[in-house]
Amino acid sequence: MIGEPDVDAAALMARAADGDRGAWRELYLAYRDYVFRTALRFLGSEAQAADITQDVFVALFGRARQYKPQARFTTFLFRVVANRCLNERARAHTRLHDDDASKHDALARLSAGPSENPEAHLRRAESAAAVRRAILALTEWQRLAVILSRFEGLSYEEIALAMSTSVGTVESLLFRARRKLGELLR
Amino acid sequence: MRCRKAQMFISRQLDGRLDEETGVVLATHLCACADCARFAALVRESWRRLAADAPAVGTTPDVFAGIVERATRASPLAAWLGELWRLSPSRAATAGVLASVTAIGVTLGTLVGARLDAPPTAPVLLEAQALADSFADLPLGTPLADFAASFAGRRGSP
Repeated sequence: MIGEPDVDAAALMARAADGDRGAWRELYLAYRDYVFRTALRFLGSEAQAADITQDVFVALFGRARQYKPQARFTTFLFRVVANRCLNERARAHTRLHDDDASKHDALARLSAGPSENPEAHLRRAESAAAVRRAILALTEWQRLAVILSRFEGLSYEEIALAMSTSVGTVESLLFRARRKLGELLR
Repeated sequence: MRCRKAQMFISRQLDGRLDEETGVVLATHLCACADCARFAALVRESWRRLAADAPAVGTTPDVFAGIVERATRASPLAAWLGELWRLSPSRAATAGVLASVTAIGVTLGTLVGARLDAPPTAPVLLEAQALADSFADLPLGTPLADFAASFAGRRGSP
């Protein structure tokens, strides 16, 4: 994972399993940005991403005993994130088309850089908006694979574990996603 | 190399998962196939543009208080199911086999017991009737005829 926090997640999870709130807090602070950002990129809504972040950590602390230190913590974490995102998407399928503009604004705030000159900022914002629209146009599975691969730097194997699928499927998802992104960003 | 395969290899190459030998074959194909070369340029550029959109920092709202509140009011049933889930596969399998054997034993015992306790049914009645009929020609009052008649009557012969 890109920029993985320097914490002993296995030890924290062991403490979290015993209900240690300090461990809960440490885990939350270390990983909340990854969870929120992935959910926001996937769902395109800040409010939904915040809900998913909460859901993920509640599930994480509830299942802390199931975590086996042999597996990488981020793989375990992203598996929970992927499940929640896909479930949320399926549940909210009927209300997906609401307020697309606000979703784009929320995502735009994520990528807003430090003070730039207005022209460069405009160019960058236009390009970023096109990319975001293209990402949201992918299927759920393709989008999740792209987010985990491109933005979080997970390997095929880690993505396959997170999405409960095979490495071959991940490769195929990324191939189709790239082909579609190429067409959309032409 | 077929174009479909070449395009899959282009995607794999972007993830650094293409071996050197296949990379050379792909490069040769791209030199000869304009469509695949265009495809390669397109996906490489769009993939590069995705990275340009990657956020440098998160802007996560602090929802920790809500997490603690929800995590601590988990239902007892959920906790029990969680404990059950923690059973090792071998222990869970053993428990399943024992439960199945017990269920099968109880079912068979009930069925056999019910059969033994059941009153005689049609086949027995038919046998009694046949016995009575076979002695029907005997003169009335003989011990054998009386026995046949009483046997048929005791078994509920019509």
